[in-house]
Amino acid sequence: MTGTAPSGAAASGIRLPRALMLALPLVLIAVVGALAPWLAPASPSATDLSASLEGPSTSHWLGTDQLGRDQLSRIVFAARTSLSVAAVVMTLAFVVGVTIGAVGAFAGGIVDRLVTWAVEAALSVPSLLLALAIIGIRGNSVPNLILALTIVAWAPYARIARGAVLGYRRSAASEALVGLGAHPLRVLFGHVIPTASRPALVFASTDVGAVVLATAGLSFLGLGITPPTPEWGQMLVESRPYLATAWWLWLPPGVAITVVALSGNLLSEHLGVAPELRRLRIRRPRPTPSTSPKRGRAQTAAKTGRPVPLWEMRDLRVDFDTPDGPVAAVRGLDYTLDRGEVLAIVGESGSGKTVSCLAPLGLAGDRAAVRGSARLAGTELVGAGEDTLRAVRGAEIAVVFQNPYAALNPLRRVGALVADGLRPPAKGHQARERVVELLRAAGLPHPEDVADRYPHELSGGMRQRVLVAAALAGDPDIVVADEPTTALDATTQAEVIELLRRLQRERGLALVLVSHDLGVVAHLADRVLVMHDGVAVEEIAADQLPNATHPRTRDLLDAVPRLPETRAGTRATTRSTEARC
Amino acid sequence: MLRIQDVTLRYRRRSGGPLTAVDGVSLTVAAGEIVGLVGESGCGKSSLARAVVGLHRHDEGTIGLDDVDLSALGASERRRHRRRAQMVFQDPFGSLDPHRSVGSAIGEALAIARSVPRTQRAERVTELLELVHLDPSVRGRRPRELSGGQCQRVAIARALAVEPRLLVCDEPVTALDLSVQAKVLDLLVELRDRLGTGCLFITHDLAVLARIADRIAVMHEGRLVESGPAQQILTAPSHPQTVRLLEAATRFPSTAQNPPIGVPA
Repeated sequence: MTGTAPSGAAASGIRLPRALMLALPLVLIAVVGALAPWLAPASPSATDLSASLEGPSTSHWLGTDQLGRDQLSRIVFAARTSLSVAAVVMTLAFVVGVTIGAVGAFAGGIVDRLVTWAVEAALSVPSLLLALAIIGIRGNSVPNLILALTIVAWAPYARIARGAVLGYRRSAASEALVGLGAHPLRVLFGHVIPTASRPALVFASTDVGAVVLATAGLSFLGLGITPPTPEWGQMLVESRPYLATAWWLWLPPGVAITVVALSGNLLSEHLGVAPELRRLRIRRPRPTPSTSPKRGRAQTAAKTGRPVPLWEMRDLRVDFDTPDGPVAAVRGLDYTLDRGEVLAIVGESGSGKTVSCLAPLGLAGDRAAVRGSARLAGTELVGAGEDTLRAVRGAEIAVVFQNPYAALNPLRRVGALVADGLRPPAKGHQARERVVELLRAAGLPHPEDVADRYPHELSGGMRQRVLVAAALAGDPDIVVADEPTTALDATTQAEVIELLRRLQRERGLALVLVSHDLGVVAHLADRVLVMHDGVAVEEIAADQLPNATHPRTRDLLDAVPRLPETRAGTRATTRSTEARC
Repeated sequence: MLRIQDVTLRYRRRSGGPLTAVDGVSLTVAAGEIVGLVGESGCGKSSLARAVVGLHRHDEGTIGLDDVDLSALGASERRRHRRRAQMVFQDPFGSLDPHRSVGSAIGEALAIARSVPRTQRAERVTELLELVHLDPSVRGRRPRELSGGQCQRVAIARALAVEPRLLVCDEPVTALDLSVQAKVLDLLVELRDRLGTGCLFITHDLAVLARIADRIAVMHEGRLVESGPAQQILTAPSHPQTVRLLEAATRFPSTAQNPPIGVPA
């Protein structure tokens, strides 16, 4: 418990004041409305024809209307009316909508289809028109206004709840619960309804503004709240003859409606943003190009004996800005990479291996502050402008990302995705030919056919090959492969590794292979850089790995699952038996 | 304890005939035994696992856990009996409710099982967390505040809360880092030794099974193509598919003929 307190407090410490600030106008107006009988200086319906249409004064702060009623009192009482109507409508819409949506998704089958149909029907009808029709048929009264607004407002809640519940039902969490033997009612009330309510509540905060606006609109049209009950829309109607002469009649109710609607929208926008994004405050880092010679430089230069390596990192540091202060992800990394070389960067998750590759290319996000030096053929990338980096990415350094399921746009054909990266750019036949050639190079069978498919029609291994083809499209000198096989099953992993090795040799690429699995990289890399906690703890030739001494390297070696030793001999026999058949 | 007999499982497809995912598979798991079920993605191993814990109906054959077939029971009986076989899922984060604390997730499992009185639940949660080598102070955290390995431990603790006879682990370490994988695997072996729980362990990676399995069954295209003691399958495979999987699981081909790295010669 104690361990979580700081992080929990930090997270809400960022969030709460902001949300409260945005909600403040709404809350204030609600409080004023609730306390109207005590706050208002006069009765909202007390007429005084002798004092009609008076401007603001000390006795009437916001002046009087044509019947001599105190405008301030009317505004305050109108807040009570508007927000009461909104509260009732939203409670009804929320309960009805969430229940219908959750039950539909939970029940499935014909019930769900009926719910979907009803929601779509309700959403496709223009809402104000529907409300007008209902009030027109049933007559002008507050219950009818609430009924009309509820019928207009429930559908989005149902749709949101249905989506949340469908997502939940497909999750392993819900299956685990079923597997534990939980009663359906426990599942429904303990998990399904809360799951459905959370996003619906967020939506409700936008809806406040919309409902208040709709109430005012209907009242303005004479179909909502009827005089003499004060209501903002109603007040606007009454002010119409005096638009030019008495600003105090129309301005205050207009401002009140705007404030409520705006406050609701801003609040929902704030609440709707992913919590992860909100927790990490975004701040542009100030790049500080390093000029002073860094430790280890002279030594490495002397060792390699080459004046300008293809890719050179010197004292690279990456800090992430978080609410709890900066977090150092990479803390002084040095390495060089030459043409045709394969470097493996290995380490546990969180050791900074991926970030160290992506940050110099400007791919680690806005909250990453990069310092030190990363030179591509002598050109400094740390602190370089976005234009420079864009020219480098793809054409000089290409990245194969970890998750082949997420890294491809599901709405575009494979051919178009690969063609995007072609450097120099090409169109039509020429592009097509080069794309097919790249797909063939990536070992995809029937490349012409694959080019016309969508990513979801391909297996994980094929998608990873498409990503490799896309990385090669810019004819880069360096390919960074970030955990290229982690998402794949064992047989496919072996094939993708074979592919990377072949392409690297054929094209003389420099390859940076990022992985947590020493087993995967050991026979592909020339050198292995072992990272731990943001620093390189050991740099070692791959064939020297068995003699590695650093404890972190030993840990990684020991973690590689291994088959029994006797296997090799037996397997050779089996294979030769097969060959003979 | 677990007896799978001639089980066939089909999926209906929108077009074409039904797809046979599992085709006449028979398999047993004894108490205190870890049986590995291995195969490529799409070979039917996960479908079979889900049928064992009652998340899928099978079309033919019987799945008996202590001679009770879940699919033959009524709803409330089934709820009571399905506790005996618990599933540990591949995605440690996805199998826990992100809005609930660790303590509340395990506490809920205890409430469902009614195995301990309400007043002793907190105490039992502490015991379970200690059993999976987690500091009891994590009970107040949400899944997102834990690492993948810690989350998987929580999922295992929750499964153990209902005192199952059998753990069905569906690729439980695939989503984890190698160094974390090893620790979770060691935990499963330790729990088997301490509690005598049987374990059906599903994976695509034979190398993982080499670390923990007593017996191994190999599936290919819905059928069981080979099964036997782990040592035998790993050292003297007889089916070509097993050989393929073994080759894929070999991580140090260059040193395969030599003593493996990390093991003193």
